[in-house]
Amino acid sequence: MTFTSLTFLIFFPMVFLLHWLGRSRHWQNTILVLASYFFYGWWDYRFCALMLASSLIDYGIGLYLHSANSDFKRKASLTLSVVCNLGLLGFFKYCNFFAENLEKLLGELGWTVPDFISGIILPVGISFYTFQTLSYTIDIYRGKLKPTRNIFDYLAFVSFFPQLVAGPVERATNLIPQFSKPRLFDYSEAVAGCQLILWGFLKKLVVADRLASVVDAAYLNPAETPGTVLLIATVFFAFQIYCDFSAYSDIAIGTAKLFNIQLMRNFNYPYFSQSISEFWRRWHISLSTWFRDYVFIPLGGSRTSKLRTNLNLMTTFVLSGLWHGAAWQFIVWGGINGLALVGEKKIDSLLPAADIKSRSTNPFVAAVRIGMTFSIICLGWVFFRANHLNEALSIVYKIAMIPICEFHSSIFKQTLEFHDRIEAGLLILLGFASIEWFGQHRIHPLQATSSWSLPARWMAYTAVIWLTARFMLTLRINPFIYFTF
Amino acid sequence: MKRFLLKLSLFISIQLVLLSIVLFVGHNRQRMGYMAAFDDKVELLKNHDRPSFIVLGGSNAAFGFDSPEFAKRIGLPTINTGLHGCLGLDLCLELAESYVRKGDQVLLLPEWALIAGQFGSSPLQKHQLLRDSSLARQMHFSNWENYTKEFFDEFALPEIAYIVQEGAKFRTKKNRKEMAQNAKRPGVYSRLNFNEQGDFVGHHELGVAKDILSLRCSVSFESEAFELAVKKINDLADTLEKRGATLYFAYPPMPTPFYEEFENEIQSSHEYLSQNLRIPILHHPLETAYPVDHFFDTINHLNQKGKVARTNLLISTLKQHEQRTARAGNSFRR
Repeated sequence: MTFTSLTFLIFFPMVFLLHWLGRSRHWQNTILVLASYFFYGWWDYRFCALMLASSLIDYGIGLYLHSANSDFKRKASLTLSVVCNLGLLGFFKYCNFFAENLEKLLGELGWTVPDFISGIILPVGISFYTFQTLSYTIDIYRGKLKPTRNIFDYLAFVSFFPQLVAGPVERATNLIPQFSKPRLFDYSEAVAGCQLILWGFLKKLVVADRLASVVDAAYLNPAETPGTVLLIATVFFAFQIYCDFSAYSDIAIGTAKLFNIQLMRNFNYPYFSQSISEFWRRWHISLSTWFRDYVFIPLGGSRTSKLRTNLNLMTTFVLSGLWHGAAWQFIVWGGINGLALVGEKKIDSLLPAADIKSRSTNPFVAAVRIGMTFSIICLGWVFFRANHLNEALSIVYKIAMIPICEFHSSIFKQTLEFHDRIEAGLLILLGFASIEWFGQHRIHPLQATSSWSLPARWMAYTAVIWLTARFMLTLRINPFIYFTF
Repeated sequence: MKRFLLKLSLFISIQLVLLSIVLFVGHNRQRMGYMAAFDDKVELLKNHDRPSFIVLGGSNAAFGFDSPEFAKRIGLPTINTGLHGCLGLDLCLELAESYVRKGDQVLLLPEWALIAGQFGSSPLQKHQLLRDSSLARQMHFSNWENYTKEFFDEFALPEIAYIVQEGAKFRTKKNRKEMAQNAKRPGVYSRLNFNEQGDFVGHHELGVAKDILSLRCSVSFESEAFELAVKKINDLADTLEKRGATLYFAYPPMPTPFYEEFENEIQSSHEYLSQNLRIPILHHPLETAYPVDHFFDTINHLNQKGKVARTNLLISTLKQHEQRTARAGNSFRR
């Protein structure tokens, strides 16, 4: 079940009412667990068994780990948890990738790979909930968290439907305490949740899906698409993926607020970042901090030699790329971001700290920095969006050749084929970017309405709803991009 | 909680009232798109009160059949229901099953892809194609079987948005007049460019509008798909025969170079259809292989020149068939 469906709009109010019918924690968590499994099983009921198995393994390991009296047993149980979670993820997510590469390799020797290896379906959201359960056992191992004995509290933490399939990747330390006590309805949180949901719908249905039509057309056949169009499509993709993914997070956080559960913020106006490191503090925050806490720091973080720190950074980013998908272009995407960060750190070390490390208040310098950061991020997005590595390389080549090959002819002539859609996309993009720019000191731009009078607020909400209905695509809604990860 | 629910209910009620107004306006707005002609064609079928000649098919029938000329020479009022191949063979046959009456003669003019099962979509996709048609909308939403999981998951919100967008379009009298004028311009795919019998006539003056040979064409013979299509056509023939109506079959047009390219597949298809269809096939596919200057903008759309040639062919083959069967004293059925 996806947020942008009538099914969800029927399902959610029922769960909301049922949840608040009872005041005991047991009732509320039971309703949430049942609703979450229903929500997840709506895709494919078999996925529920997988999630339940994964949850129960870590529930058991968590309890054992906490009571284990020797270091060996603790390490062994943590290893078991890591192997189970990564094994599950690896099997469902990476089997096809390895089979494909193995097939190519063996193909040259005249051998074949059995079909069952290459035909595995990827269960939705597996990357998200396995990371969540992993953080649970690791935090218990580190002594940051006590295991929960109540199975429903634990299952609610793993399966909580608003963030189950595309995050935010929650930490047990944040979420389990919220499930471990009865929740009381909070009016202001509920209103804030509704605002976030509205804003999320607008971002997804109007901005992301509209931009997607240009991006999809340009990336469908990049070999025959002019570099200028590919460049515009790449910028559009940057905003498409941002609006798509942050919309999901907004709706998830907003929905959780209606149950008086606070999820972590996942995006903080990332495209206004003045450096790559700042970008990664503002983009997919829940996953970035997960990799920081559970990969980068355990590898030694930045408290080692410069070479080792750079190596740790590269490893973390390549793994982050691999988390997104089992394909070479994701690995290169991670590599580009890692390299950019390593390069940035090198420049940092050469320049006086005051010049580079803080955000510039000079509008010109700020604009240049934002532009440079955005360009590097866009280079990564080419690899992220392309269908395969060679295609990404040819797109980068075509874009790089614009000043040589396409400078003489008019840009409008080059983009004629996509002209209408590009024009509409640019208008939407400008409008959206302006709203974000002026609203960036708030969690989301609709928060500004909180201080308005009731009629003004309702008029604003009505306008958002009707603008969404007026400008959304009417054939079908694109699935959220991060469902595929 | 009470305060929240009360306010939320009030807010939702306001939105629902607004939505009802917009849905009402959107639903009842007269549309001029090409697919809106579906309403007119169904009206023609519903209201025919004496034995008529009814043409079924995709857009090859809409563009390439001259109903007034046919009516004049055959002596039967003629209705052309051809509209769009993607509506599928099932819808063509369904129309016949619902509206053909005693004494009617029905000619099925399917595209190759329609027989091969390559055209045709799910009920929901069909409905989306026919969104411009208020009859199709009624048919779709009055059928409970269409309220599927897929509908609630993927299409319900876009459907509401579509009607909202239609309802929210503000049109003055002047706008409407301009729209009607635009819709009548030659070459425009619109409801207003169909004649009273259901033929598309908006392309009459335009000759060849596209480089036909640069278009893609494929014909494939897959016995499974053909078997299914033949079964459906034969079933319809049985139903119509019981009702006292007759069903004929004729081939779609095809540019000669493509015919030559796919001659083997076409020949196999023809042999299969000749052996298995229990209704008269009026001609060999070669007879509707025309030079490219007979086509308008796709390999299925004849221009006026092609339309005249094809209508003449159909009239003469139908007459020959009638003479043969009269001589044999048989019914039209093989």
